[in-house]
Amino acid sequence: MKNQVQMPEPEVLHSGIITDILSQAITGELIGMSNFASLAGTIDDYHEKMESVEHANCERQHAEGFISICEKYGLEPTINLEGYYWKSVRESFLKYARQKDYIGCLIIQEVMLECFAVSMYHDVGKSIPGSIGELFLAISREEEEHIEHSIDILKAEMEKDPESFTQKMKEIHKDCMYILAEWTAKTDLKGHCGVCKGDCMKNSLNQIDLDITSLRGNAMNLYLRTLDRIGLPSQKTIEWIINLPN
Amino acid sequence: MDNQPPQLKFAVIGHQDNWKKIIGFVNSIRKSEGNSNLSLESIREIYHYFPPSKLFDIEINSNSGKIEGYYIESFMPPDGLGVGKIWDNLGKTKAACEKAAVLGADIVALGGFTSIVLESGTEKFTAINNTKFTTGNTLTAAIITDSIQKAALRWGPSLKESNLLFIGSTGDIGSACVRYFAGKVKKLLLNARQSGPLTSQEFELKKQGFDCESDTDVRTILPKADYIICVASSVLPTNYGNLLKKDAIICDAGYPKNLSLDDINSTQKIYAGGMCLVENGYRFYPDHFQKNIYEFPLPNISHGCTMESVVLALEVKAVSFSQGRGNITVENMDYILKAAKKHGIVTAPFFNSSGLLN
Repeated sequence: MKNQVQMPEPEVLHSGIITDILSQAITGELIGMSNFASLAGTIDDYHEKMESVEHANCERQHAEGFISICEKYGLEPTINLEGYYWKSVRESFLKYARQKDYIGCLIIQEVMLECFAVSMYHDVGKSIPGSIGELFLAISREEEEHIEHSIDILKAEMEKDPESFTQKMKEIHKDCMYILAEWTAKTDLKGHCGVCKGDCMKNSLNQIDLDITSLRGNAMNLYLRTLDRIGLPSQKTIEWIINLPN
Repeated sequence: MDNQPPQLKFAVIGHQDNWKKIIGFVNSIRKSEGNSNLSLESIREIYHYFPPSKLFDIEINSNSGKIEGYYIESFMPPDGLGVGKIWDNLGKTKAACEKAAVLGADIVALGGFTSIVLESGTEKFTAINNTKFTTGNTLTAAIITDSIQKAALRWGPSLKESNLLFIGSTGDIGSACVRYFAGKVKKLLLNARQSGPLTSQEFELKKQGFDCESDTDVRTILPKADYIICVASSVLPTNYGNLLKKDAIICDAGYPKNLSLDDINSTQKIYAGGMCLVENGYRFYPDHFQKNIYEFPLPNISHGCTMESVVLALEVKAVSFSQGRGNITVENMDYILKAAKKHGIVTAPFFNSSGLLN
C-alpha cells in the first residue's frame, strides 16, 4: 500500500484582508443565527416556527463553514458580536422581536441583511481564488433562498394594505439600513467596527480587486430590486436609498 | 351608458443627458429629509448602481381628454453612453423594458440612447407580452422636418432655393429627414461618420435623380449649407460658426443638445429640434421631478420621441410604430404629425438654451 503524501494547504495571499472579510462574515452569520432563533419566538404558526429554527441552523452551518475554512488556512478571525455595527443590527432586530412583529423581523433578516449577504458574498467569492472564494459563492446561493422565502409573504402583506406596509417598510429601513449604510460608507462613520483586526478593512479591499463603493452599490441594487419585487413603489424606495448616510 | 373608448397606458424609458440635472434631483430629495447635499463625485459613484425604475407618473392633457402614463429612468450615466459601455446600457435598457411590461404599459417610447435596442438590426425587441415598444423616431423626424419648413417660412430663404445639410444623415432619424426633403430642396448635403453607408446613400439618391453631395468631413460641407439638421451630437468643430454661411439656420436635434451658442454670430440661428409643445400641458407626480429633471426654457415642452407613445396611446394604437433602422416612411411621418396635432401635441416654438427665438 502506497503512503499518501499529505500536501500542505497553499498559503493564502493577502491573508490580512481575507481574515477581516471572514471575521465580518462569521460575525454576520452568528447575528443571523441569533435573529432567526429570536424570530422563532415571535411566531405562532408552528410550521413557520420550525422553519425559522431551520434557518437559524442554516446560518449556524454557514458560520461553521467559514470558521472551518479559517482553520484550514491557519487564519485567526475576530468574532465579536459586540462590535458597533453588528450589535446595532442585532438591537434593531430585537426591537421588532420584542414586539412579536414577525413581519418586521422578516424584513430586517431576510430582506435587508440577506440582500447584503447575497451580494457581498458573491462579489467576494468572485474575487478570492480557490476554496475560500468557492465557499462564499456557495453560501451566497443558499442565502438567496431566504430572500425568495420572504418575498411571497411580504408581497401578500403589501397587497393587504399598501400604504401602511410602505410606511412600515420605511421605518424599518431607517432603523436598519442606516446602520448597514454607515457600515459600508467609504469612511468609518462611527469609528472602528470592532471586528477588523487592525485598520478598517475597506482601505485594503483593493488588494483583492474590490472596493467598498462597488460592494455597497451592488448590495443596494439587489435591495432595491427585492423591494420592487415585493411591490413597493420605486419612486419612494429610490428616495430612501438617496437619503442614506454616505 | 359610458361610451368612452378604452384608454391605453403609455410609458417612457429615458436617461438623463447631464450631471447637473442629476445633482439637482438627488439633492432635492436629500434636502426634503434635511440631509446634506451629495457632491458630484459621490453621486457619480452611486448613480449607475440604481436599477431601472419608475420615477414618476405623468398626466397629459390632450384635446381629447387626460391620459396617464409613467416615466422609467434607466439610470445610465450621462457620460457613459459611448461604445465602451454599450453592453451595460443594453442590459439596463432591457431591464427597463421588462419593468414597463411588468407595470402593464401598453405602448412604451424608448427615449435617447435607449432606442438602440429597437434600432439594432441584430435583435428583435418590439414587444414583451402585450407591451409594445417604439423608438419614437418617426414623430421626432416629423417634428424636425415640420420645424425646418416653419423656419424657412419665418426667416427664409425658401427651401426650393436652399441647400439642406444633414449631419448624421445615415441614422434612423437623419435618413428619414433626407427621404422627406428629397425633391423639396435645391440640394441635399449629406454627412455621416462612416463613409460606406454615406456613399451608398448618395448613390441611391442620385439614382433617383436628386441633387446631392456627401462628405464625412463636416468642415468641408458646412460652408455650403443654408439649413442644417444636426442629428448627431458633439460633431461640430470649435468655432464652427466661422464655417457657416452668414444666415445659416441650425436645427439642433441631437441628444443631448450641446451645440454651443457661443460659437455662432448674431445673424446665424440655432434652435432645439425634435421638440414638441403639449398645448394643454402635462404634470408629473411627484412634481419635484418636473422641476429638477425636465426643465426647458418654455413650459409644456417635451421630446418628440417620448410624445410618440402618448400619441399612439391616444390613438388607441398599441403598435411598435418605429423600429429598426431606416424604416421610417414619409407616410408614417405625415400620419403621426397629424395625429399629434389632433390631440394638441405640436411642433415646439423656436427656442434654445437662451430662451425663445424671435
